[in-house]
This record gives sequence, C-alpha cells and structure tokens, in this order.
Amino acid sequence: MKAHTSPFLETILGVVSRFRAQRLEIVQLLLVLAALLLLSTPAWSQSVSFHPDIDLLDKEGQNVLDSGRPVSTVRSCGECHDTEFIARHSFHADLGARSFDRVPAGASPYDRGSGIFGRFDPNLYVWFEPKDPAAHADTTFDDTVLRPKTPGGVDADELERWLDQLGRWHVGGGPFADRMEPNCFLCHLDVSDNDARLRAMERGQYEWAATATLASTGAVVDRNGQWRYNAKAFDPDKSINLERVRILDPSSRSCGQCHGLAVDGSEPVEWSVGMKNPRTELTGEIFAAQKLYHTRMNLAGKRDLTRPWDVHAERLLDCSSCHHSPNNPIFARESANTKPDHLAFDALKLSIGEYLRHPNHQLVKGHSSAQNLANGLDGSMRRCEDCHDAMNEHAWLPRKERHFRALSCEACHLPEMHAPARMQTDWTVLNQARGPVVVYRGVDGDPNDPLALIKGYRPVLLERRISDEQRPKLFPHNLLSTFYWVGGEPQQPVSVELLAQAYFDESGAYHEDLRKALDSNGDGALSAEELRLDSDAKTQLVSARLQALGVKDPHIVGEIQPYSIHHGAAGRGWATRDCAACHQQEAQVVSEGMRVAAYLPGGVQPAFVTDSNADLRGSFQRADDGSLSFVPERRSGELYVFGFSAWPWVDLFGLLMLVGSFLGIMGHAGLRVYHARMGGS
Amino acid sequence: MAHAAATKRVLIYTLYERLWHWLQAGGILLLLFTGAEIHWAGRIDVFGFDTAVKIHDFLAAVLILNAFLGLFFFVATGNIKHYLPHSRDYFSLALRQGLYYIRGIFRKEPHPFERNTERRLNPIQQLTYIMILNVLIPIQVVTGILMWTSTKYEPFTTLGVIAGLHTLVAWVLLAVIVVHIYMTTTGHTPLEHIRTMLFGWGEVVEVSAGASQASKRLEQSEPAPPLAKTDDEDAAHAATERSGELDVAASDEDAASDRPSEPPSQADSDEPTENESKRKTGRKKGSKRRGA
Repeated sequence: MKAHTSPFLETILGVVSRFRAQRLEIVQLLLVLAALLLLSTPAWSQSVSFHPDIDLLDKEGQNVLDSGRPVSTVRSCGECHDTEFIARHSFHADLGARSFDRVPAGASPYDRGSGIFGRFDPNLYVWFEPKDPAAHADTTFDDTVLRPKTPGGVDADELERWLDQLGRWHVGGGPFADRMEPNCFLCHLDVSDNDARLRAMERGQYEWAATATLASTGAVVDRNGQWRYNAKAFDPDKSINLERVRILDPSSRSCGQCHGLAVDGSEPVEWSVGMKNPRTELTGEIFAAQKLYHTRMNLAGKRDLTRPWDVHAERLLDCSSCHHSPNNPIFARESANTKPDHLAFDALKLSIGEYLRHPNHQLVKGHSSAQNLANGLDGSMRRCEDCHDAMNEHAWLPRKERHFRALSCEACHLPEMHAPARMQTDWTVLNQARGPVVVYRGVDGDPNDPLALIKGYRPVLLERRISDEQRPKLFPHNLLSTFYWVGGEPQQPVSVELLAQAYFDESGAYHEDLRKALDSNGDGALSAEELRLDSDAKTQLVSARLQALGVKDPHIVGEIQPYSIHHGAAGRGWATRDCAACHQQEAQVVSEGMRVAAYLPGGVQPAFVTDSNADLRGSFQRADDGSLSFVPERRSGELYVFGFSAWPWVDLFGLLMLVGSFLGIMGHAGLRVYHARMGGS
Repeated sequence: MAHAAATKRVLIYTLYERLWHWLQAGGILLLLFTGAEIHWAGRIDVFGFDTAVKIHDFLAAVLILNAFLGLFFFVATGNIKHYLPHSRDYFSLALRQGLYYIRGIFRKEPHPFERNTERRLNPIQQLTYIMILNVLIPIQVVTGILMWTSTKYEPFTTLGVIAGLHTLVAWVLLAVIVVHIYMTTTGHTPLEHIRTMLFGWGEVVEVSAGASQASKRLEQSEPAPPLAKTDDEDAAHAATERSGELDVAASDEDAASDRPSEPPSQADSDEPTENESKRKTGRKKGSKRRGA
C-alpha cells in the first residue's frame, strides 16, 4: 500500500534532501565567513579610534605630500594638541636632560644626572665624560625648550654617540629636539613600525624617525634608503587615510617597543637575548595575556604551566591602564598634597576636550629600585591595593593587615619568573661582537640556543621602604652584577673603543698573547666560558695592554644593581599561599639568597650600588665553583618573620640558662641522694 | 628525713586553687610548647604553624582570664597574704631559707619555715612568685598583646625587639618551671608537695607551745635573731651526721630550738582568728574524709 504524504511534509523532506546534497558547500561557506570575520576584527584591535583626519605637515607647515619633507609631529599634531606643553611634561622626551649635572645623592662617580640621559648604566655602557669645571658650569638645558643652551660640558660627538647607542629608547624631543621631534606615532599608532624607525636612525636620518614609524601604514616607503610618501595611502584632500592610520591610546605593544617584551597580539611569546627588551633582559618580566604553555620558548614543565604570562594582561589591561596620564579625567586622582582638606572627592575635573588639548605626559609611575628618572613622580601610580580589595580576596589569610604591611603584593604574586634574566654583565672582556660577556640565570646552556631549557628563577625578596609608607615591605628583585675597567684621572670607565684596541689587532682577531692566555682548552677559539679574567696573570695582561694605550692605573670594579620586579603577576592559583613558605626555619622564600656572579673577573668582589632604595643588608658567600651569592639578613632584621627570624643570642642565653638549671638540679639532687645514703636513711 | 615533729593532715589547697594551679600549669606548658613550635617552625611540627599560633593565642587569652580570676579569688579570700612578705627582716629570713637549700637540706636539717595553712610559701618562694607574677608574666602578657595587636597597630618598637623579649622571658619561665618542679621534691617526702597540689591535703607540723620564734616573727614582723648557730651546735650536728645516728629526738630538738614552723594557733592566741576557724573547718572535713 502506497503511503500518503502531505504537501507540507514533502516540502520539508525536499529541503532536507537538498541540504544533504549541498551540505559540503554550505559548511565551506560558513567557514569562509567565519575566517573573514576573524581576520577583519583582530582580537587585539578592539579599541575604537575617533581621531579625526590628520594633515601631515612638515616643519614649515606644508603638507608633506607637497613638500616631500619629514613629518613634523609638532606641527601636525600641534594643530589640535599643545605639543609644546606635551614635550615639557614628558619624562619620555626629557629622559633626565632637565636634571643634567644635578647628580642625585648616592649616584655613581660616572653619573652626570639621573635618567638615561646622564646616568651611567653599566649594562648600556654609555656615559658623558666630565669636562673642565669652567665649561661644565654652562652645561645646562633650557627648561623652556629643553634644548642644550650651550654645548660646553657635553661635546657634540658625545651627544651623537649617545644618540647612536641609546636613541632607540628615546622618543624624541628633549635634548635632541632639534634633530628628532617627539615621535607621537611611536606610542599612539596601533601599527607603529619601530623597525623602520630604527632603520632610519641607524642611517643617521633622525629627522625621518617619526615619519618612518608610519611605514607599516603604507603612507611612506623606504626606497633605497630614502623615504618616499605613497599618495595612494592619503585621502584626496591629502589628509591621512584613517583606515590605515589608527590613532589610539598607547597599547602594551607600544610600550613594549622600548621597555620589554609585551605581546598583545596572537603571535607567540618569544624571548630573545639582548637589551632590545631591557625590562625582560634585566628581570625576565614579560607582559602578555597568553598562557605560558603556548610559547615557543623551551620552558621546563611547559605542559603544566597553564597560567598566563601576566594576569592583568589576561584581563585585557594594558600598560596605560596603570601608567596613565596624571590629568586623564578617567583615571585622575588628585594628590593628597593638593586636595582640599574638606573634600573626599573633588568633582572639578578637566573636560575631555581640555585634557586632549593638554594631556600631561608625565605618566604616573611606581617606585623602582633601579631607575632614578622622574623621581618626583614616584608613587603617583595606583598600586594593586588601590584596585583590589585584598582584605576580601584573602579571606583564608590570617593576620591580613600584618601580612599586607610586611609584604608587597608582588612578593607572593610573582613567586617565580619563567624567562631568563641577566645575572652578570662582564665588560672586562669583549666578545667578537665588541660586546660584554653576559651570564644569564634561569636557563641551562646557551640562551641563544632555542633548545636551551629555560627553568626560570625565583626572585630574591628584599625589603624596600617606599616613600609613602613607614615600614619596609618585601619586594621581589633580580640582582645583576656588572664588572668593568676604570682608569685615568679622574677615574672613568674605559671606553669600548680602547678596550677593543686592547683585545683585538687590526684584523679584528684577538691579540695572540691574549688568545693564548684565555684559550684554556687550546682549541684556538675563545668560548664564552674562556672569555673571563679569572686569574691574576690574565688580568695583568689586559691591564698592561690598557696602560700601553695610555690608561692610568687601570683596574676592575664591580657593582650590583637590584632590579625590582612588578610585571608578570600570577593569579591566585599560582601565588604563594603556603604558611611554611615563610614561617619556618628553612623558609626558602625569605632566606634564599641569590647568585650574583658566576665568577669574579680579576677576583674583584662587587659592591651594591649606593642609590638603591632596597635594604641590602646581608652577606656574600663564595662557592667552590667561584660563584658569588648574596644572602639577605633577615633572621634579626627589622622585618620579623615568626618561625624564621630570631635573635641568636636570646636562644643561646636561654639554652644556657636551661642547661644550667638542669645541671644545678642534678648536682643538688645528687648531693641529696648522696647525703641521704651516707645518713643511712 | 628529719620531719619527726608531730604532724597532722590538713586541707591546704581548696579545689578551686588546685584547679586554678593545674590549669595554669598545663596552659603554660602548652604555651611554651606551641611557642617553641612557632619559634622553630618546621623543626618542631606537631600542630603545624598555623594551628600552633591559634592554640597559642587561645591559651594566652584563657590564662590571662584565669589569672584575673585567680587574683580576684586570692584577694577576696585573703589568701593573697601567702604571696606577700610580712616580716621586716624578710631578707635575712630568705637568706636563712637559702642556706637551708644550700647546706641544711643535705644535713637533714629541718625546714626553716614549715608549710602550714597560714603560710604556704617560704621567703624564697615568695620572692620567686613576686618576680614571676609581677615581672615575667606581665612582660609576656604585654609583649604578647603587642605582637597580637601588631596586626592592626604598629608597636612602639620593632616586632623583632618585642618578639625577642617575649622569647627571652619564655626561656626564663621554662627554667623557673624546671626548678619549680624540682623544688616540689624538697618536702617531707619527694612527692608530698605534688600530692598536696593534686589532692589538697598535706602534712603540717603540729603547733606546739615551743613554736619557733622565726615563725612568729613572720606573722608579727619582729626582727630576726642572728642566723649563725653556735660552734657547739654545728659540731654536734656534724658529729651526728657522721655517725649516722640522727634520731627523731635530736631532730625534734633541732626543730624546737632552731626551726620556725607553725603560725600562731589557738594555743598561742586567746581568740581564734577567722583563718583558724577555717583551719578547724578543714580539719573537720578532713577527718570526715579520712573516716570515709
């Protein structure tokens, strides 16, 4: 019997059968649509730019498409923003130039200021030679325009050398405003091309540095070392096409171009050797939302590292969320010094328009143990406790207030760094690339080898008294030792140029006598392990060569700089929360020292820098392998840790008293027994 | 032992006093132990650091409360007198007690100050308890409270100094406890004092007409006579010890001539004092119990 079917049912069955026939095509179509959707909205570029069209002008105010000259950010951005105000209120532009020759207390003898400009950083190994005091007196920088008033104390070639070596970390303006205007694009362009900028600077095309930063937008192209504008990237009215150029708040990627490894895109986190990412190089800090196990790096126990590189990055915060402009009305917090006493909250704020006209670029900052730049802004940043309600978050923790007074949040939430960090920079020798020999911690083998196993390291906790608090707190630090030759009168570090003459012959090979002295395995080549002055004979050999080059009394000095660690925070599941981590006699977290040098060049024991705000009381211990470790003093320090700290003499006295009591009792009881027996009772 | 003077069993410590003592004793020992676990965390690991801290804090609070209850009890019942030196020649009497511990105890001399219901503590014990109750325990309480409240309030000095002082006094208290326990063996029998503190009843010397003048001085604050014995007495005592012939009679003679013992009893005073009445009551109860 033939089954009867209704027309409606037939229609449904027909659609289903057609879908079955074409389902492959439909699935393919859906996949293509999904891919297009993903490509058109990258995860890291969700921010919306409301920036109006920009006319890119040169210094004369002409459109660059017409003139072909470099973009002047002062003129272009200055159409709406007060660029002079911004330059005057930006320590990124100043980098310490304003305080040049006003050396802070405790500075090294080679410092001529604070900040990168003027401060001797042995890792970067750039400094300004001291000049004749008479000429020195005129070495000031005009506060109004931040330009050298007179070149008296700093030679032009020294400025040039500084720019060559450290310009990559300078946003422009400040002491180099004449050559390189503040590069607004470097921070505010979502696709800023730092490689192109650096390429321009390497060629000495400083005036093109800001323009080159636009290269990734296609607005400018590098043709045979010359920068040419691409008219197609511009609108018909010669303004820049905002679909190509998105002007935004600085992203973490923007800051990471100079400060350290910060990944806010989808590319895997990849650590590499070198000062290109200084914070990462010096401390191992990495700011990224990705899970650790997604990295290309060869991390030990990688499969189990399910935490993100930084929990704040994972929550889609970026650097400017904390290091914001102080007058940004969204984040602004009036200082207690200027806030009227009768107001808990001052509703009088800048309007958005006023702020955009005069955005203060003295970005708020915390307290660092290593930087002396813009010290006046220390503590202006919100700290963890300003956003987090730690009392509620740590319901499990007994004596919360006490713990929070003694411990920084970082002490527990940065229990371990998962990237290598520098342990030692040795400028007493030069490698073939005319650079120092660098020893890293947290990696087994050559850090340049992608197969080297990265184990990370546990930071050392040092007490630091941050200015707005009376009690010191424990903060995680990396300790980095540097060794270098000094000589002359007055003593100055020996320049790389002189050192290179001492080590290399005209052909670029090591001097034969030096090579023989250093080549301990006799293979004719000098490995990193052989490039070290670990005997008097080797040290004397180099010293004699430096003396022959005119260096008076050359000798090696060593210093240790503590670097505080604040980024790369772990969430609650990865933070330290075991009482025994600190409250026991063998508590490694509080007692563990840190290796500061794998070897001591020339046998010189390094000393701590004198301008750090960390408590550096402790002792040095030399191991059999020649390495040097620092063990902080905490057993009887100001920060008393129950179960760990103790006054040794108290226990000794108590023990002696107890033993004395027992001995007295035994003697007394013995005599009683003796006399009782003698008495016959 | 040279305690052949006529003794009687009386209730020396009431139930509350005994409970109070043993609660304090157990509490202090546990405080010392948990304190040691906190101090050497990891090396001593019985309760665990966190639990040890909680027990330590709780016990401290209980013992402070118990101390105040005890103070109230001793003041209200007048028993605080046991802890207060009465005599103006207190120090010479203390010296006499000291000499007994150093010398007399080996020679089987009688106790210079026999314990009784009216005077439980000899001068050295009084001095010791004055130091413990007025110096050591208050230091522990104050430093403990400062450490406890340091969670909210910054102490006047560093936590290290406070904790160091707390640890130092804990050591002293531990040594005192060790000596205290040993001193309990210096009664008429080694376990007599402990038995008394456990059950309340103890042997006390019967009051006689020749009750020692020293005892009276303790009660009446009279000046003490010179402590030194005559050469003849010492020589006779030494000879007796050498011969091993120390008999009860000789001991009793010593007691009569040299040993302070009983407080004024009914035989010494015309009217019974309130304490005397209590003692009688005690005896009566004791008799009943013994009978039972």
